[in-house]
Amino acid sequence: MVAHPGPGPQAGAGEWSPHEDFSRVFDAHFAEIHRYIARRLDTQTADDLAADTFLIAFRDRERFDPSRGGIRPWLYGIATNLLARHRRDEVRRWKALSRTAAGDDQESPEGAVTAKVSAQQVTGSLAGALAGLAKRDRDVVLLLALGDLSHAEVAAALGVPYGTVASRLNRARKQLREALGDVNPLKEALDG
Amino acid sequence: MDEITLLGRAIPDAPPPSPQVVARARARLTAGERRPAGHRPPGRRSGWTWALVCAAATAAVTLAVVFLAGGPTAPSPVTPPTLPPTVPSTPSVEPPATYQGLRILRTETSQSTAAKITLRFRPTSVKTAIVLRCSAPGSRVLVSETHDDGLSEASGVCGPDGTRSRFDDKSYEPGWTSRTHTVTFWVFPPDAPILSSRVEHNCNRAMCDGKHRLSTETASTIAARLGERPQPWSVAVYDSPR
Repeated sequence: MVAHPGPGPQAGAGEWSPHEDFSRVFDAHFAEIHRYIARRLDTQTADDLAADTFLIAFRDRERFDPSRGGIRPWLYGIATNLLARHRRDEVRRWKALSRTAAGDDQESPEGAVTAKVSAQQVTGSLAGALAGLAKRDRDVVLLLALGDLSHAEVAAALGVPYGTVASRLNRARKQLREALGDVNPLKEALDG
Repeated sequence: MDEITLLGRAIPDAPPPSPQVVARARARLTAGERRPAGHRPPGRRSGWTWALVCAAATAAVTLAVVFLAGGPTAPSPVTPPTLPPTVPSTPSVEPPATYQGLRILRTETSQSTAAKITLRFRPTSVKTAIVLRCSAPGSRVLVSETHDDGLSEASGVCGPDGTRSRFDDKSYEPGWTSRTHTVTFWVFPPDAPILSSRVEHNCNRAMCDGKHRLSTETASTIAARLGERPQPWSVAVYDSPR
């Protein structure tokens, strides 16, 4: 189940407005947007897309509506839209990571004998699952996982209703869990 | 730890952007500040493609491509001039000798649309502006340059209200002043069968709904289909005085 919807993301008290001082928006968020894109694609592409994200945000700053969400969801939404143009590259990345991570596991004796399931050990499985997700579902999952946005913020970022985020997330969770082999490694990881 | 948290930890992290990347992005914003909020660049691309393969910015080159119509004065958001109904008149497209403190470096005028102009110029400074003036409001524009890294192109509209555009990425090409640039400009009439940039995104073919994608591959075909029309336009390259 997803978290309680709440009132939706708001530009918090004291959060500056892009209408007033965009350089502060840039200083505060460029690195995290770059990181988000780089983790979904690669650093070189992130160099360009992150810059594009802020250029678009700057040009559309008059359209920014704090009542519809904060600055972070707004920026992540723009970045996610730009990422859509690289959908095939992203899928290729996840597939490659799936293969690479699987290979790493086989070559690692420590990984073979360690009972505890760590995040790194399931990278390959999760990357493969990400490659198989529908883009709209993948966007939701990765905005949550990489952007650390709340469900309401994801809804604002993608411009979809809260319930849509919930349904996409549930669908994606199911696929991710299946990719992990239905052994509930999440619980094992916790139990150690 | 749920799947989402696990996923966040499992996906390899990325290094922070380098200072050069941050500086380049900031410089693009600085360049963008000269454009009014809400304005979008012309065409389907955010800028000249070759900039995407460039390394970090090494110079604060400013290349402005400004689409103007209505005369040699600075752009002003006014309605099209009211003309006597019986006296046809064409707005002047003659470029002024200076533009925002920059001196004219090269200029050429075409008396018709569905035609192209190729300009060769070598910038003398890192401040360069390219200004197009189209007598027919809403004219469609294609700008392209072939260079060592391939073809760069961008499309847009020559607006009636002094709409500006800037190919921001181009502004950060290293070695901007160290080579001669050969840039080709196509201008087509407003009613040319060219897909709008918005529709173009959904069209995977050279033509959709009887309209062409505007590119260097299709420009000649579109021009041949239309035939030249007596709609003057000009392009001028301005450069900073040494």
